[in-house]
Amino acid sequence: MEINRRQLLSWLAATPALATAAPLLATPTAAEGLRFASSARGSDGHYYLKISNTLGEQLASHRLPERAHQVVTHPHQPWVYSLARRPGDFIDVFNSDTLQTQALITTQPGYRLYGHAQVSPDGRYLYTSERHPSDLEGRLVVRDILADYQVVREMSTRGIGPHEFHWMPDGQTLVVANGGIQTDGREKLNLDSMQPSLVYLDSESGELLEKRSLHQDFHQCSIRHLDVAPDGQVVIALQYQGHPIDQVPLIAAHRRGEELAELQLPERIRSQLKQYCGSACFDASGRFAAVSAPRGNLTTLWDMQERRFLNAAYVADGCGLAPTTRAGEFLVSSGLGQIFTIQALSEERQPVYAANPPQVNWDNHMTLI
Amino acid sequence: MLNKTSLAGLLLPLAVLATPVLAEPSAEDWQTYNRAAVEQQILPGYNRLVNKLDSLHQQITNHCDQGNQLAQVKSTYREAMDAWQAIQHVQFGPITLFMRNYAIQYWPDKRGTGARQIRQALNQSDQNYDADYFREASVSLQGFPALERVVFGNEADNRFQPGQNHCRFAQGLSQHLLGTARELEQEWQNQEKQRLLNPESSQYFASHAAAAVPLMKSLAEPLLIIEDYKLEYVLGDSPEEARWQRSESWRSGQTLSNIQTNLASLQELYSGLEPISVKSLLTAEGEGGFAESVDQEFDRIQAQVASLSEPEAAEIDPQLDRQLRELETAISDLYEQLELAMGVLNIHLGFNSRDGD
Repeated sequence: MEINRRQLLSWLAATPALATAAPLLATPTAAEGLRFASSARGSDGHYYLKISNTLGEQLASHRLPERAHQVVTHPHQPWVYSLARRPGDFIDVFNSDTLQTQALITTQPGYRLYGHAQVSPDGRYLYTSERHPSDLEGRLVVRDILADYQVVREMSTRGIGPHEFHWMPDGQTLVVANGGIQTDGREKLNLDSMQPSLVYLDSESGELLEKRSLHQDFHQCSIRHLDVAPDGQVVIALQYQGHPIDQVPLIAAHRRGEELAELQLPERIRSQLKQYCGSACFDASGRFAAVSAPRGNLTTLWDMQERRFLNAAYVADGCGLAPTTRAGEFLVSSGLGQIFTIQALSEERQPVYAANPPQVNWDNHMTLI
Repeated sequence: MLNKTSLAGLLLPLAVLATPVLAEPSAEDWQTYNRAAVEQQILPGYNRLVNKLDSLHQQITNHCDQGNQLAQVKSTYREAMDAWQAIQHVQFGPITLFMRNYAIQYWPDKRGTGARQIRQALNQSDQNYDADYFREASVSLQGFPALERVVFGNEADNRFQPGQNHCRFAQGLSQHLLGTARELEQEWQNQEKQRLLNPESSQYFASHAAAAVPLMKSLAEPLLIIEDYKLEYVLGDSPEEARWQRSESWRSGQTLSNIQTNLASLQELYSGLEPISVKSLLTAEGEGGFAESVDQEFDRIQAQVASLSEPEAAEIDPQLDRQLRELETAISDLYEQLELAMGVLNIHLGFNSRDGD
């Protein structure tokens, strides 16, 4: 791993003006389109980090060791982190300015990644959700970016199988989805007894601040993916591990101090989702949210202020979501290669690739950079 | 269930080996194919289901009015089930709304709740088995398996008779099934057909090739259902685990003919449509030999199924057990051949939807 620590320190201390001087971090103009990153399977069967823009241009294609899951960016630097899909062990750090590999981190012996990460708002620490070698309770593992990504501490997530997690608006608290599923490799071991939860942790002390679960009748609704609005509301995508005909929550919302609330879907839509939601995302305004359901080929759109279903956009195999800069507008990536912009308040759907979408399978999550 | 896809996903499409490399099917090709599939298979398939369920409802009504027509009811039941099996592979569009796919045929019932629910339902002598009843009922009570129990069950001779609950239930259920089939036919005519054939007119399919994807899924993925549920679930890992009474239609004696009917429909999607078929598209890509071998494999497997006899008893004799396991392997191999075919045609059947995280 070749990181010049002095240079790194100066980068981290850089003022926003300096930081945004980097070409790929500049606020994009309309002509450039928004830039987004996602992992993908290429037509050669290998896995890549792809950086593209909404004009349909590919800006970078970086080979990854194996299949990745979430991609996250550094708040001040042009570093893009690709997280191995569970139960993988690599974190690929790519510099989107120089288009070079910055680092390839592997987990501690016996630990396995769950595919998700966050960088602390000050840019100092990388947090990853991981499986502990012996303890059933999952971990958030904290690595010091200034110290060659050495592990500096870890904290229990107070549940099995932590998956996606995000910073709360205070920049101090983390909200974590504990999927509840105990696994061996990718085999699920405890579907009859699984107990998913949503937890709020202090990012420094690891203290448990709040823990919520759905009603016990719905203990097989795995809490896996979430996003946080600027006002602290959390939107949650659920994956039901029980029977295909059961009437169960598939999308939920939460505010600190309240019970977890199911978001009510019209039965016509709910019946098509195949008990599986893949990704959740707030828009630029924080009022609207999108939750994708790749098995049902639909992405549902919500007014989160009223917690009201608005509409569902058809996106075949659509899973990855990102907000654009416009209120109510989202990008949705499809495992079949296309990317669309969709709207919360209209049924308009525009393909990013007008003619031929790229020969790639976009993986579950995408992020703006 | 779908993890075999990862294997085929790693294999390069055959066309990579062909020289010169030919262009993938055009938008016009897919448009022609999609129209052929809708007009030659899907719409006639749902229309046939409506007609056969209509006959079944009439026959049940006659039997329940006059008695002594159980044999005719059984025969028309089998024809209606056959019509369903011929269109069962279409798992997109109106069938996915409101759990209709499960309501028409809730199987396999791995939780085993269906038997108890049907027993309870049939014991309610004051129950009005009308449209509202079936709309609200558990899926176990709404479809072919519940009707099969009444018509072919041990008690049919005594209790599926005029004036009895079993008759009232079967009349209401066959009417309900007929209503669902009519809705499917109408919604395909009024909406889904337009979505599929005129992608530019709606916000569904982004192109003719994208509209072909659910048809290609309908061609390939039912093979996994046959393999995993219609065979493996019945056979288990060893002859000692095999249970014929887990099979799809053991009461009516149609388990094997169902597979035969499914394969015939899939082969029609593959090579039976005019003027363009998947086979002809593969041939145009320079893969004529491969295309023909897949077609022959469809023929061979159907002949294999046709040579088997449905067991009379719950046991599966060792010879049949071995033959069914061979069939399972052949169907698995055929699926992988179709995955390769999709690679040649540049059709992705799914990625995020298949292996979630």
